[in-house]
Amino acid sequence: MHHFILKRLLYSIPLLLGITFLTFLFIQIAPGDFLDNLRLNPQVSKETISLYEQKFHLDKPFLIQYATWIKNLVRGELGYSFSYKAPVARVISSRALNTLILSISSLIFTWIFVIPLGVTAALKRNKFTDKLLSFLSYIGMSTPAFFLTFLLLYGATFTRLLPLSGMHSVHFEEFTFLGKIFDLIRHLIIPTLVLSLGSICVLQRIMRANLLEALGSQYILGAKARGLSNARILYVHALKNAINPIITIFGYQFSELLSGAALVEIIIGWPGLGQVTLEAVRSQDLYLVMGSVLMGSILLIMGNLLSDCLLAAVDPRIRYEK
Amino acid sequence: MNILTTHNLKVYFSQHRRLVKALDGVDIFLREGLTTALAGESGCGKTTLARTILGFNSPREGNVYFRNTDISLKKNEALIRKNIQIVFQNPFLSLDPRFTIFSTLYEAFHVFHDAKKREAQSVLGQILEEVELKASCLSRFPHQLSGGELQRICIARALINRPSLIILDEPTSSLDVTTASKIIRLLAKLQAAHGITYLFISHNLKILKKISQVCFIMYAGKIVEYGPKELLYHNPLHPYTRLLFEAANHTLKFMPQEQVSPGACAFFPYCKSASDTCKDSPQKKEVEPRHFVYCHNFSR
Repeated sequence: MHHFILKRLLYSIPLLLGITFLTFLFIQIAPGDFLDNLRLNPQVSKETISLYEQKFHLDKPFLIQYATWIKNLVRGELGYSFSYKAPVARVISSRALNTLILSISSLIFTWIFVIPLGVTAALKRNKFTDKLLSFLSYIGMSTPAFFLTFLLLYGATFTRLLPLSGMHSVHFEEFTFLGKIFDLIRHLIIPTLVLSLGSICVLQRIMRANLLEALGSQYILGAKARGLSNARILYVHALKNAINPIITIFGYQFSELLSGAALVEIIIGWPGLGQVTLEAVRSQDLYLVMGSVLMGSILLIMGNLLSDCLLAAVDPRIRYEK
Repeated sequence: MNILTTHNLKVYFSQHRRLVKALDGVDIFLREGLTTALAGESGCGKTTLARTILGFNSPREGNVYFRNTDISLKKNEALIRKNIQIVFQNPFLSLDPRFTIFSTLYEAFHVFHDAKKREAQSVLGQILEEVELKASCLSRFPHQLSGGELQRICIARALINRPSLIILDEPTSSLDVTTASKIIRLLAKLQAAHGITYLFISHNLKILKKISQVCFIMYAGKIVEYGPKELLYHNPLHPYTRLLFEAANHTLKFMPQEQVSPGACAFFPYCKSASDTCKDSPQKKEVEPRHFVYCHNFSR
């Protein structure tokens, strides 16, 4: 198992290099850079600008710039953000944590619903409950996330039950520890709902199909013939085997969550990576873009690694290579 | 003594709004301690019969009696589970890939024996010995074993609660010839040791000849001929049986099952010796002692 994880981590290095190289390339291809704002400002002297250029290596050729960035990265330095006037690491570390909180809460919310709903739909196959769930999931799948966000925000304005934006209330610092958690959860509800609904609808259908396939297999028929209880057949044999493809999807879902989170973060004003990345790209804040893309990619690779480890943990065929 | 009999068993399915008569009045009997063969082409209803005996399909008409108890009634299901077991065609699909061999066998054992895992260890080792496997298999997962070994595990699992009847649904069809013959030998040995009755379902007439004592030939949901193996193999009567024997020497081509007008002999459209009388339902006829056929050619 350790071997497996180590191998996967090593494989992710060239992947990260590729991602960062392309990102670097695309920002450089786009005309202008962050200093253009300063260049237009008549109060800033040419000397100051060339000083900045030297300091941030913007006067060097593209490949040298990239190499310098990698060199600094190895030393643990992510560079300096022009717009925040602070080290990139400091800007994105709290943002990455916020995005992680949002992603994990939607992940948990999704999985709490997917498995019971999928099982219910499979057991009530072609009956009213199944058809209702199928109908509702088509509605859920076809509702655009941004529209749902506005709908929920509209509801929240009327009922005044939930906060409309941000991650904390104004008086957050004055709350007790439990109060802080409660406040965070209240702020989490709308973005979590928006992020989870689509995947709940899709995955619930996939879960249903997988379970039906597992229930139709020969070892299930054999288990019935041996007189095992229905609960044991369903939960121990069928569900365990139906869950495999779902865990694989879990890895992909992580990437979807990160990009989906960006959209929701921007609408709701959740101070996460997505928001900061968008701002950084707009203002061509080179090192901040690089830092947040790197962070997002690392989160994604970790998510995939986690799903692979889970898969190996539940499936002996993957665990024992031979 | 018959351990199991079916009376006028009818199982219908609706498929694409069409009624498929999977079993259309099947009468069979299984002699205790012997092997009864059930042969016929794919789709003729062999597996449906097995599933109906196990209580997975409820018959539209007719009954299944196990030692004079009607097991087609839901309340007698426990009797089926205790006494009848099944071994399927494909051992790769009939074992849960997530379970070690120990868990697979222990789970089956635990249904009727309230034994702790440690107590069951010796029983499981013994049953593996009976199917000629080493006890070291217990810690393996199904994907680490070969097809032949897996089929032995399936047989061990069927055997573990000492049933009186085991249905073998094409148990050798997915194995190579040498492995298949070893399995056949093992089955015969187990029968001699425990007096188990087998219902051996197959389309392989050579294997059936080796292992069975009584043969039933099935076509389109109906029994067309049955009798002691020697008589049936020596003197096949029904045109379909003859075709099967001819085909066994080459390759059997599956024939499309055309809708025959109700009441007619199902084999009528393909029969070389068909006549106008075949448009009526054929009656059972004892051509020689204990050798029966459902064919107009013999009732005339």
